[in-house]
Amino acid sequence: MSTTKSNDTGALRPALRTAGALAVVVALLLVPAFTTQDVVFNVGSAVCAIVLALSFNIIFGYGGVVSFGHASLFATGGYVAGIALNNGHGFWAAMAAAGVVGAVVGALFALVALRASGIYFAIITLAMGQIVFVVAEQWDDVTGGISGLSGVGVDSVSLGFTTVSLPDADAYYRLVVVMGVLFVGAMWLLSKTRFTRLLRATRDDDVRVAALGLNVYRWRFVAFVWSSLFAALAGGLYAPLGGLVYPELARWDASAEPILATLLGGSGSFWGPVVGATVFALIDFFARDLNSLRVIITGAILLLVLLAAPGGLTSIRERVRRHRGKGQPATDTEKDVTAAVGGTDV
Amino acid sequence: MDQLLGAVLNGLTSGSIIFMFAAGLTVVFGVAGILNFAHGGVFMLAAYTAASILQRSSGSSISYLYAIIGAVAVAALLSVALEVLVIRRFYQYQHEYMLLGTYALLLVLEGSAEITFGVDAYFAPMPGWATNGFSVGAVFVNWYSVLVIVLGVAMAAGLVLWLRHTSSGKVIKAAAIEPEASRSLGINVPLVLTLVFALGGVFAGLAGVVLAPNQAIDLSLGSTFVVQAFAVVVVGGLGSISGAYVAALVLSLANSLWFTYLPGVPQVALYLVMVLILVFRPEGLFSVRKVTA
Amino acid sequence: MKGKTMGHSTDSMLEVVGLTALWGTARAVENVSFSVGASEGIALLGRNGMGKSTTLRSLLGVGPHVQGLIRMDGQDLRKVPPHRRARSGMSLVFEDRKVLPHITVDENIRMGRRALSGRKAPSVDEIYAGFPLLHDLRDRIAGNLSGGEQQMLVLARAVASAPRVLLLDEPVEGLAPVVVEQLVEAIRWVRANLDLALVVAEHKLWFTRQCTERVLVLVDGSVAFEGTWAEFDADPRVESFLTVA
Repeated sequence: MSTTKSNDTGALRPALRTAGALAVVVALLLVPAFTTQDVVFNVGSAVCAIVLALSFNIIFGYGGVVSFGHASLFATGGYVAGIALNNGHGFWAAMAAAGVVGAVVGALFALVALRASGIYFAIITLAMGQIVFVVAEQWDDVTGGISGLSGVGVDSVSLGFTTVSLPDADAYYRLVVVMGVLFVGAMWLLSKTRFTRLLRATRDDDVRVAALGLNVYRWRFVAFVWSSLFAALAGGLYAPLGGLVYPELARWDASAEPILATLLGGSGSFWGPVVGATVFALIDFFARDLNSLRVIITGAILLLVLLAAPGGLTSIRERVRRHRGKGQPATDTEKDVTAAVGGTDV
Repeated sequence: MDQLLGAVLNGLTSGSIIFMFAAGLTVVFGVAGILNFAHGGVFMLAAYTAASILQRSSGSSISYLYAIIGAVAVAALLSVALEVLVIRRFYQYQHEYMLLGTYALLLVLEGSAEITFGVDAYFAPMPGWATNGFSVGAVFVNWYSVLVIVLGVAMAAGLVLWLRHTSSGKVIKAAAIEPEASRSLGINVPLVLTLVFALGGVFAGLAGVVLAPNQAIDLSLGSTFVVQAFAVVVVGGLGSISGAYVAALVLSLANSLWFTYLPGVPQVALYLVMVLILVFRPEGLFSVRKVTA
Repeated sequence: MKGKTMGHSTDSMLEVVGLTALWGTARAVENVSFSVGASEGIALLGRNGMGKSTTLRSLLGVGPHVQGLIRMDGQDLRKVPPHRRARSGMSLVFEDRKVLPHITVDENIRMGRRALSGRKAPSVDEIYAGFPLLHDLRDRIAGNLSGGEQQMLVLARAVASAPRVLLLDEPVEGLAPVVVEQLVEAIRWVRANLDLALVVAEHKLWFTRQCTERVLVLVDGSVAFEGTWAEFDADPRVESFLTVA
């Protein structure tokens, strides 16, 4: 059916798009060859921020509720992976532990917060995120308290048939790129499923979806757990990158970052958060010596986007296309619901 | 017993300050339907203004008057400017987007504070009389705490009475509850919204002055307070002034009791109690959608 | 007053020329023109969704984006914000009534007097004479009244502002016939005691017939018929305008 295609963002041909994606991955892998340690760390962090922003968009862009505590799930993943690695466990075990604990904590968040919606949901998740932050800051024996966990690192990664050693930060950075691409790919596949179409329908019109006999709460709960899983995996991936996990990663203002990245790029498209997180990373990097100006610039850009293009950067092209009379707006409850419920989807 | 009394006194004092800050947020939310992160920035700049006036004049009596005037003026003007120039354009958006828009404003205000006042903390002197006080058992109660608690009660009662019993209060409630009907009654609703922001600014300014002598004023002040105040506003029931007052005291008492009796355990009381209350009453203690007394 | 000194011919209190209202890019009302005399009453008819409410809301300025000219007593209202239109004598009684639920009946009526800005208005006691029902309810909280009582209250509140143009949007929607009779009485009292132009948007003919002289029919946002009730009854097309095809 042609309707299922309408959610795609671009008019780019698939082959061209695959080539473009490959080029980006290759470029990312080549970063250490041409730049400094500083840049490598920042690009690696940006990859983790992209995964975090995409994970946030599962619950925001598709689920329609704003989680203001997502950084605490990222941090949870970071702490769990850090503790596992520092206790001599391997990379895969650390990542698995990060994902599992993150999903469980996220399920707890969802159980409580999904009783409310709208602004109440946002504030409850903010409060729960702050609980994680305070625990991270004050449970000294386990988390290292204010100074955090240091010396987190990965020496080697087992691939079953062989073990690849990771002698330096550049090597781990390449692992971050590979894993990051895998996570993005997994979320992309998730975005193509019937599950996501239904979720999108709950966002656009939860009353109608409920009237169709679907349990909106359950769909959002599952979405939140998926979202938490990927947020925690991003955190787990991040921990060894700088070797340090610290409480501020969980604080509410860190939770604002994936939200802002998503809004900046646009929540209506899968790639919106990727664009937003990338732009944010660039702003952060180039404005890093400007101190106070950096915050002002970030705030001002956000204000501009909210006021001028409330749909985010990726919505601008959509609007131009619509203006020219080509194509329809990307989301449509009717289509999503019929495609998902009627079972005519791919 | 003395330990309990001390904990309660601390809880009431900090709860009263948080309420003064949250009162402005509550009124603005009730009338304009906007949960305003930028309120934290306004409050922080007011506190900086007060602290820098007091620091410079090394605490002469008249300087406290100057500090009050300066802080209130800065906060009210800034609040009005933000509403007229930016926030007004957000009213058409959903609550979550307004939340983000005002967060962006908070970032701008924090950056501006850093440029204006630098990264070093400011310390304002406490007036001599405020450090005196009296003893209850082994607990020393200073006049500063008494003043703060009394101010909190007065502000809560004053606001409730004003909204309930004066004609200007009734106009504000009318504009909050039925904006369109209010317009058809000749009420200038946009002006009412601007004035409500001015009022919120005045409260933020007063809270800033009251806080200044008690704590180091630094760049984290706005975001620290705004999160606690959001907790208070939401737990109280969005838009309810009496709810915000009760919530401020309950959450602060929980915090100080936890601190006193569970010293080694992470200080999560405020957020934990908040989450528990919201689990059982998802729309807060006094759930109303619009500003009420 | 102002209009007369500016030299407009002011047989008409309200003058609407080429009113077009847009919700986004959808036209809810298209090129509607009509005028209402200073003590005239007209009925705005049309099926649901034909633009009656939008027209009235546009007149007060609380509707969608609007093009075209709206003049009250000769004064161009295009740049005038809603609360000033209200103060210069335009009063809209909304479809969903919008009493101020937190205050008493009496306070609601007195709130209406805020929009007077100097015009001579009936005293509150005089209003109670025209709305005896409300006199008995004066100390009740408005939010607790029945639908009919609330409708009376918003009409009385509008009257308290001594409107020169009174706009009623679906005033009898959802009311019991006996309550509608009372409302007709009230509207007649208002018209007998106040000099005002009345526009009633309503699709119940038997009601509007009793309180207006002229008829305007909207079909798909445009004027399809304009004339007196006698002309309306004689026109063979009107049935098709008002019944669902």
